[in-house]
Amino acid sequence: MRLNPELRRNLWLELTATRLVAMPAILGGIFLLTVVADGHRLGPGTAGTALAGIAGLTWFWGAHLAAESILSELRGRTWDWQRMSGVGPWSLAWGKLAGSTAYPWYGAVFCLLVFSLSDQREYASPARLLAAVLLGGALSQAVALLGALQAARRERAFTRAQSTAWLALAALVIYPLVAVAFSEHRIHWFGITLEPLAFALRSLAAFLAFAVVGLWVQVRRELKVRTLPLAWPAFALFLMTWVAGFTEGEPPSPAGYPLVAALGVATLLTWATAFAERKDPVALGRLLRALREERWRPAAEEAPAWLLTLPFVLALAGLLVAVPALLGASDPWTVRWTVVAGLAFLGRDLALLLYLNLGARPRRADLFAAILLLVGYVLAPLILAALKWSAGTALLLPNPEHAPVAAASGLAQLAGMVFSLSRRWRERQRAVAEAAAAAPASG
Amino acid sequence: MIDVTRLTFDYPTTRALHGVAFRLPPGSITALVGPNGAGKTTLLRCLAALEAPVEGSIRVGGVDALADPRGCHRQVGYLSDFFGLYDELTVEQCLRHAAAIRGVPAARERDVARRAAERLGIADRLGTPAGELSRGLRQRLAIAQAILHEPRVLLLDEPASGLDPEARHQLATLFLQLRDEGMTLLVSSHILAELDAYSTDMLVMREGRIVSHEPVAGALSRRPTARIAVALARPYEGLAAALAAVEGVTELRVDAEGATFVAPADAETQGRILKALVSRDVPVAAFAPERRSLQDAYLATVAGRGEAVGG
Repeated sequence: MRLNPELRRNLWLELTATRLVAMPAILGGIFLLTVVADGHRLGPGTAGTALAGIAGLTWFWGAHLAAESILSELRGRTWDWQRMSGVGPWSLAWGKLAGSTAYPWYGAVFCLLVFSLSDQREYASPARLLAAVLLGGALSQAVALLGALQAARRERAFTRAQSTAWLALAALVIYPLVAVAFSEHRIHWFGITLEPLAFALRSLAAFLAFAVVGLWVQVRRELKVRTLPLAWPAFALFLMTWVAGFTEGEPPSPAGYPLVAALGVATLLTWATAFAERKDPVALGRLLRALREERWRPAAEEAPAWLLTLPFVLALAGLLVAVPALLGASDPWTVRWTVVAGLAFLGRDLALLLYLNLGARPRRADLFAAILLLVGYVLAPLILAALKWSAGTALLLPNPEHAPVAAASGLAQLAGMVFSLSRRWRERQRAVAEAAAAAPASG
Repeated sequence: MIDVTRLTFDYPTTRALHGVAFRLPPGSITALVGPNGAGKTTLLRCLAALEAPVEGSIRVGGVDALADPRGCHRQVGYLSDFFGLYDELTVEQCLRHAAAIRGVPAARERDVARRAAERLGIADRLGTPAGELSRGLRQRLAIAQAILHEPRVLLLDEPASGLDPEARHQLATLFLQLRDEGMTLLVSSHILAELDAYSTDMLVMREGRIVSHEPVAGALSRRPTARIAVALARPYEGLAAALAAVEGVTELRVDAEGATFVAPADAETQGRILKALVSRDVPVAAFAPERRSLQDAYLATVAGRGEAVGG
């Protein structure tokens, strides 16, 4: 059977004779020092160093290399060639993930060997803890590679330093999960009390599975394999459920709290992906055209991620507006107006992002939008609060204390942005039509 | 082999292709020419199914490139103008990897890689890392990777840039060889002299539109006048008078070794001029219309067709 070509290419690059010798030599030196410090034995200090070594190699270096495996192809202008290859999306995805990180894993094997031979008395469940650290490494690498692939769809030129950003993202994702593994506090999740390490292991495995599926889907898209966007809504649903579980504590919370948590997650995902994704007016035009022509599959394939999580936001918000008693609040209208205000501000932000990206300088649109929103959501409310005019903050964000004002302000801003956006879109369509009319079809 | 209809491609801020349509027959080598920004690279990327157009259709080797991009990838070899190589791999590793990802069976992988290296004259560099190759050798390696899986269609964007004259000649020979083996080639280049050597058709683009598409032979012969050179076997003083007396001869320049002049390009007129010279006992050693280059044909096409043509 043939070795996965992408894995083999990476092994050719990563596992050279010099590097194969260098890794154990350096690790051997480090463990020699810890053994001496442990009183000439494989003591707890050596075990801790080995565990830290696995984490350092796989979580950080591995994540950096995983991100680099895509970004270096873009810099080196080899990615288009890969996209045209006969290798399937799954082979390319796992070949890249396993191949680019082969060297850190090679080092991790030595650390693992030392850990297994060392004094592990300080750890209650060393094997399961080790599994959590290893899963954390794999998740970190998958997230970094996924982030780099997502970034590649947005932009085609990257510096080496930018792969560090994906490493940071990966660290951000895995930190809370691995922190749970080392925690001594029991986890309450949907009313069930769980041992932290068991919960962390299951969570890590689930997140890793989603990351790998996401990786496969992104590679499919890069390879121009037509793909229905099912993985992202599935992950959103999973994350909403996972986070919602933490709202069930002691004493029991109102029944609507998990819904609020899920709504928060869906809103955050919608907002974050609206920023992260490329807002290509050409793709947007294709989507609108497919919708107009009722070609649902192409429309679904073109749909941006933020549009896929928006139905969750609308459904949960609708439920809270319809049944505000779920939150146990004394004034149902405050709940309703607050939810409406939140929706209106989210809609305004999405419209603002699209409006700026349809402008003459789309490259800086997201940065400009971020600055505007930072001023609107943070700086201006802080100034108003300093001036002791808290009601004024309701004009800028969904303030529950002045919910009707916030809802009215949000809806007015939403209407204004949607009007501006539709006018800019029409102007753009007119300009395209005029350009096409000025240049008759050729052949 | 390539059938394109109403192909329109938009970038976020500009339209790059305006309803482009053309058909390339199997076994042709088509020169894709046009000024910078004409849309040549965008067209090649659409044909390689790397970009999705706004509208139109592309069929490559019978495969619908929009409905089945992966099927199109199997049909096509593509070399972009700014290609990349895996610099840390050796030439042999690059070629073996190319063979593997293009579905060449493992048992044949090494042989196919070596054959490609021999075809491009880099067989003596198999152990050299790609990053240590000269610009010309890198270009050859990239072409070797593009043709290694014997695609039915080969799309090349500026394949000869950076190559020395000898390498360009080898490249022209290779293209003709590939054409003879049944491959269809579409070659974009700024160096029109190089395209002269192997092109069968010329596709001229400007501002995202096809300005002309015709056989090179037609493009070269389609002209009302030609400059003709006459060489003398020995000095002959009456040459200027003899030529001036012939109807249709203009822009006459005479020196001790012969003359050049412009006359109608048809063979009948040229035969009449030659007959007039011989009848006056002018010692003609050679009589030949100057060969028109692809560049002349291109410039004439662009100058003569400011507007896009239909059909």
